[in-house]
Amino acid sequence: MMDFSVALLYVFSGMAVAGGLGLVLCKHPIHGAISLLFSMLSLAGIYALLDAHLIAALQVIIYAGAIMILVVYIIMLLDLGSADAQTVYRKAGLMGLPLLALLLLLLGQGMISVAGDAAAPPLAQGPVVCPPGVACETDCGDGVDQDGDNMTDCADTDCAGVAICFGTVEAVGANLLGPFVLPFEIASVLLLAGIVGAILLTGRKPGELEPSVPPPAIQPGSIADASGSSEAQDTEGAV
Amino acid sequence: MTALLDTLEGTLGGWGTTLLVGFVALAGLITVNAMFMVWFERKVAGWVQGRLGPMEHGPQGTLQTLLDVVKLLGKESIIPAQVDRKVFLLAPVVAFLPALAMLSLLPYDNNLTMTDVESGLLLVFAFGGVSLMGIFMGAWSSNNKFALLGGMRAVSQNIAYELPLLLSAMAVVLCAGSLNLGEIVAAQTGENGLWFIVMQPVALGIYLIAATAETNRAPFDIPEAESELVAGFHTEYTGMGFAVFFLAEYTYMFIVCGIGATLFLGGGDGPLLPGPVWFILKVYFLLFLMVMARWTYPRLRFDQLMNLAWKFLIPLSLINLLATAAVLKFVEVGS
Repeated sequence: MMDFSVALLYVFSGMAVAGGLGLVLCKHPIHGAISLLFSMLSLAGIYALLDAHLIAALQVIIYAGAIMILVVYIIMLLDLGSADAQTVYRKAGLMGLPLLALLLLLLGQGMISVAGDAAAPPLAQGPVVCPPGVACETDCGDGVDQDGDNMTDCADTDCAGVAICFGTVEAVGANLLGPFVLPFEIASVLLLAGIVGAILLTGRKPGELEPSVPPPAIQPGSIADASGSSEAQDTEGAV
Repeated sequence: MTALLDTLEGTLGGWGTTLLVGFVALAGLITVNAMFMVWFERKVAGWVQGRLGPMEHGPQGTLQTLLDVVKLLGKESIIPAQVDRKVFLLAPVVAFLPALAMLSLLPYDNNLTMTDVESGLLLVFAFGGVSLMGIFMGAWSSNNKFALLGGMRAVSQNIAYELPLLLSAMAVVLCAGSLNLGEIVAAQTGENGLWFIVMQPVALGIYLIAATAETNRAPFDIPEAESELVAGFHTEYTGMGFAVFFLAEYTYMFIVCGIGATLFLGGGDGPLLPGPVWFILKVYFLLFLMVMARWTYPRLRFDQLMNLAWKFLIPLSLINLLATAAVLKFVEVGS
C-alpha cells in the first residue's frame, strides 16, 4: 500500500497541473483565475507535505487569498470578460509550442537525473555536527544556548536543517533576519519603490488640492452658443 | 463510547479515527451553532427592542429554527438562466469549505485540537482569505448588479479589515511567543499566566471591531445591505445555495469568536467546569457582544467604513504592536 503522504502528493500535484492547464485553456479570464486559485492551493498542500508549514500558510494567505482576489478584481474592473477581449490568438499559441517542448525537455532531464541519484537524505534527527573548530548549537530541543550567541534552539541558524526545526517560524525567521537579511531588505525596498511609483502615477500632483475636473463637454449641434448655454436651452424648451 | 472508539481505531487506524470523529463532530457543531445563533439573535433582538421574539414553537420558541431549516430544505433551488452555471454552483462550496478547515484548527481545550500545527493562527486567517473568494465568485457569477456591487464591497471591506485583524493578533503573538494556538492558550494559563485581555485590551477592541467587519455583520454589513442592495452577493441564491452561504456566515462568526477567546480570554481556562465548556461559554459571550452591536449601532456608510479601517484602526494597531514590542524588549533587557 502506498504511503498516505505520497498519495496526497500525487493528488496535489495532479490538481496543480490541472489548475495550470485550466488557466491556459479556459476562454473566460475569470474561469482561468479560478483555475489558478486551485493551482495555488495545491501548491500550498505540496509545501505542507515537504514540512515547510510556514511557507504553506503564507502561500495560502498571500497567493490564494490576497493576490488572487486582486487578479480577479482587476479582470472585472477592466471588463476583460467582454466578447472582444476573448479573441483567441492562434499564432501566439503556435509560438508557445517550442517553449513547451523546451520546458518538457528540461523537466524530463531533471527528473531522470534525480531518479538516478539515491533518495534525498532525510532531515537530521540527532545532534548537529559542528564544523571543526567552530562552536555551534548542538542540541536543538533543550532550551539551552550551547554556543553562546544569544540564539537558542530553533532560533539559531545552525538548527535550520534539523527535523524539529525545519520549516518552523523560528527557523525561517532566524534565516531571513540572519544570513539573508540583505536580500530580504533589498526585496522590501523594491516593494516600497513599487508603492511610491503607484502613488506617484495615480495620485494628485503636489499643490493640487482638488482633482481637476475637465469642463463639461459641449455636444456639437445641441447648443449654438456656449457662453449663454443655459438660457439658450431654456428658450428652446419654452419654444 | 471508549469501546466504540477502540473499534474504530482497530479498523481505520488512529489517523482515520481522528478524521472521522472530528468530521462528524465539526459537522454537528456547524449545524447546531447556526440553528442556535439564529434563535439567539432573534431573542436578543427582541430583548433589545422590548418585545418577545419567537415564542410559538417549543418553549421560548426554541424549535423555530429547526422548522425554518425544514422549510428551507423544501425550497426549490432556482438557477437563473443568465448565470455562469459552473462558478455559480461552485461558489457556496468555496465559501463554506475553508470554515471546516478553520474549525479543525481551533483549540477547544488543552489537548483537544483536531489538527495541531506549528503556525495555526496564520492558517486560520489564511483560510479566511480563501472563503472571500467564494463570496466573490458567487457575486460575479450571479450576473446581477446588486450581487456584483455587494461582492465588490465585500472584497474591499475584507482587504481593509484583514490588516487590523492580523496586526492586533500579532500583538498577542508577541506576548505569547508562538503562532501555535495551543501554546498561546498555555502562555495564558500557566503559573503566572494572565489572560491577554489584561495586557492587550486595545488589541481586543481592534480585534472585535475588525472581526465584525470580516464576517460582514452589522454595523459593517454593507456587502448585503438589504435596504440598498436587496441581499448583496447572495441575491440570486435560493434553496440550498443560500443555506450554505448562510451556514458559512454563522460558522465564521463562531470561528472569529473562537480565535478571540483563544487569543484574549485564555481558551478553555476556567475553574470547576471542564475546558471545552468554558471555551464554548467564552465564544458565546463574544458572539453575544457581536449580536448586541448589530442591534445597537446603525449601519456605516461605505466611506465611513473605509475611513475607520485605514485612518483609525490600522494606525492604532500598528502603534499597539510597536508599543508591545518595545515593552517586551524593555522587560527582557531589564531582567
